[in-house]
Amino acid sequence: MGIFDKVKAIGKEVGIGLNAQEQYQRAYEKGVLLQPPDYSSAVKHFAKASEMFLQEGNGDMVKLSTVNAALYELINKRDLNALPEVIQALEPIDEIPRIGSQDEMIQTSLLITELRSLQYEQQAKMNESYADRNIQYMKAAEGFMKLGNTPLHISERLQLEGPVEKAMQRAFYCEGLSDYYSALSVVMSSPVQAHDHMQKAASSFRQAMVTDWSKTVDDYIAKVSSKSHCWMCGREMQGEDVFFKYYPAETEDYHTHLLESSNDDLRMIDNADHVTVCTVCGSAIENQADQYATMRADEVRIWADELFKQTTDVLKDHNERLRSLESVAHRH
Amino acid sequence: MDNTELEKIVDALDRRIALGEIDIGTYKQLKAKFSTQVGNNEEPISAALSALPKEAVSLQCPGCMAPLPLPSDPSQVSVICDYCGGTFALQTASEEMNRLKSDIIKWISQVAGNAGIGTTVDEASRKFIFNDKLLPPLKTAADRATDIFSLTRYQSLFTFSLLNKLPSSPFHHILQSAPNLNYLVDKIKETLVRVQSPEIKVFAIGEKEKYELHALEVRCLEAGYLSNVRHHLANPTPDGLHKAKTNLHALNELYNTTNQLVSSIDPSLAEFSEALATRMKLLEEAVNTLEDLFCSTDGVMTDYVADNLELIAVKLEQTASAIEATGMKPKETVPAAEGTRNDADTVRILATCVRFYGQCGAETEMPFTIFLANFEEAVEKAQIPSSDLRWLSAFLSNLILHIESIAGEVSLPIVSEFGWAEGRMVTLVKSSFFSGKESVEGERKILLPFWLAELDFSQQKGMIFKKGTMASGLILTEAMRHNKQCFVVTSSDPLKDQCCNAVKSHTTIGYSTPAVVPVVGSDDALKYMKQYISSTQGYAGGNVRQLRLIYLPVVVARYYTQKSERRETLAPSNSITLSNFDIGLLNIGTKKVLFAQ
Repeated sequence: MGIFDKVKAIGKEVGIGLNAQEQYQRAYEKGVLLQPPDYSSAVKHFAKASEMFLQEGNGDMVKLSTVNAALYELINKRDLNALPEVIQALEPIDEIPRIGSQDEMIQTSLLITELRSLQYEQQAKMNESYADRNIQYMKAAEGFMKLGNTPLHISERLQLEGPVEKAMQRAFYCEGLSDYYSALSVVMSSPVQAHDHMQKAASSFRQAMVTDWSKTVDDYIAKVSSKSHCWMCGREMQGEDVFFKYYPAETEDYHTHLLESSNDDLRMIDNADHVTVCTVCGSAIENQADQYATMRADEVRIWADELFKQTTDVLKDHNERLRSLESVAHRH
Repeated sequence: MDNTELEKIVDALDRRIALGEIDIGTYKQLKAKFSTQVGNNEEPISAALSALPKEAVSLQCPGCMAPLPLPSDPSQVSVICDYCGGTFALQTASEEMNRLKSDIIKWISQVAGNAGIGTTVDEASRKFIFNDKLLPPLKTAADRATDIFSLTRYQSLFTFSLLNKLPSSPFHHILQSAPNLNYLVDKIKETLVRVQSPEIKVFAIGEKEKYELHALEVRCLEAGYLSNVRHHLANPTPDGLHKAKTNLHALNELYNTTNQLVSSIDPSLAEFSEALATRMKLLEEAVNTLEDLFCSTDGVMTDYVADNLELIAVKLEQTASAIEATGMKPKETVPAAEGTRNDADTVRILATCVRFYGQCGAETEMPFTIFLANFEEAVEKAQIPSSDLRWLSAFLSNLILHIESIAGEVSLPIVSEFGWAEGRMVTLVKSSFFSGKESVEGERKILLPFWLAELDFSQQKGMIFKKGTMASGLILTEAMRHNKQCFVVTSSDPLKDQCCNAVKSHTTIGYSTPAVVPVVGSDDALKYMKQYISSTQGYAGGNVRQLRLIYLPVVVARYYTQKSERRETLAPSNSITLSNFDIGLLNIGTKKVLFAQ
């Protein structure tokens, strides 16, 4: 090997004088396949390779390099807002190398379905409306369900919450979230419907094997399905802590007997030293109590202000007297 | 004048007395006159009451509110409930019923404002009183009495003793969260007696009213029956299994009656009730099979029984789908369908156990109960705190494959070459100045199960100009115990080719080399592998594929000097370092299996 070849080899080693294909290969060698992988370096090299392929007029490789740059950027930064661009880059291609591999190819259609579902999930997270979240999570679930029991390619690398290994499990997870938010969106108008949605959510979370969500939902079901009459207005309400609450009160056995003899709802006093009061009566009392408390506080403030003013005047008077006494004392 | 005209006159009298147009004396006189002519001088309520079908006076069990059998002998002082199995003094039960029943008329008078028996209230008024006065408090009372139970009532119903020690099974989760039966009965008894009383039934005139009353009765009664089924199956005895069947039969009848009552009013509910009735019927068959297995002293036709149980499981799954398709609200259908599917899974596990019993015990007429007790011990040894039905199902199928492979009936991926052992034993011999050089002997040869998967990862070369390349190998994790340890076998390791060959050409375990039973499920194995890859330097971003079970040869070597001795477990690759373990022998029926401890 001559000196020129040696210089050329060193140059290629440090990334100088590479052609497009070498630049593409370098993205793997100096990024994807390093231990640990350096995805930012891979993105840089894929982007450069894309430009070089463009100059060469190699359209297929331009697309492939662009997709790889977008995908590894997504994995590197875990910025789900970039999903639309990644999907757009994937659409014109049929196959790409599997993430983390150079040789094994996967169909982009599967990847696009996965990413679209993730995009719906992201939209749901960003949305403040429970009803919209319900719709977006349902769309995400439908997408994952289409993938069946296949493994997910990207989700696991984005460190997302919930199951990330199998599409089916993620589908159940999203379905559970959809029903959960659906329940929250209707609970103020119909706790009965909310109960129905929560029951579906509980089943989906159990199928997705997400125990923390299962427990949250089971607890919610117990509350939203519970009914009691209001001690004040006597109306029956459904949904503990939603439409009725336990308020502290003095209750004795006598009250239990009283309810028993009149065939009234014993739930009203099933919690010792508490009665159930509907949120309307409860809030009316609380608001009125607040108003009285504010009124009383204002009265006290006026009385205290007057008192403080008088004290201040007395002090001021004393100060003036003291100053005049001091001035007399100095003259002597 | 015909009866219709006379009835019209009597009705007109009712109206006129109500409007104050005639005095009470005239009313009574005229009413008596015309009523006699009608040929029926009974009061409407008394007439309705006497028109009700006559039933024998029955007692209800104070323990579960199911009907108690009538004493066959007048001198009998106590009675055993066919449903809950409790024994009660007849006098106590009778006094309790009398107390509850005596309150009913008083209660009706209070609630309905003296519109009870002995008063002149026509059908329309009775219907109005029922809907407006009687039904709402009954509904509230039934709601309150059963609302804790309603969250779990349709969930898993079927279990058998193998699942009792499983740390996580849906049946036991429900059993723990379901309210105590005594508490439940205490709450429902008053409402149930009221709902079932003839005094209330005379007010339930229309079809809808009759159904409303029946729905309340179902809600109260099913709480007792379902609770009884769960308790009898959780602690199974021959008598308990029989009682579980009795309860399931009662539930089947209850839901069938609902189906008939509501078919024209609410088709969705009718379909739902029909599906529930089918579920109870199928479970009754499953419990019947379980009872036969537990009690039979004759031989068991295991294939026939297992086929039958598998058919029940399939039908249960179809019933779960039928429940979902009924159009009832999800709060009813979701737990019912989920519970039915869990029942199907449990029945399927029982079927697998019966098939297994056919291979190791049935032919020697060993009782099924003894086989199951052995098997429970094996499950207890193999499980971890997170083990659930899925794990049990996987463990069972792996265990059956293991035993069948020992018998030479099933081929599995097995590396059975021990030629490497001699050389490796020698390389690990130590020598020291004080105790001299160790001697070594191969103490035992065994086959150990491992989960095997292909691993794609990248390798980094170069110090200054770092460069990554693709690499592949195999990743293994122990399947004989849950110690989460994983090993990577690279392409250069001869074991890789041996494993690949074993996967391509399966063979049987046979009797020549003892083999340890796999206890780790594939889900857990995959989890352990992924944890290893993500936490071990050099494998970041690696991809695991094609998980399967494989048996590898292992040698336990004894190294000794005059002063000391030690043991090493040697595997066919330097990449695999096994910590020491004991091996225990366990009988499952007529078979002996090795477990790592």
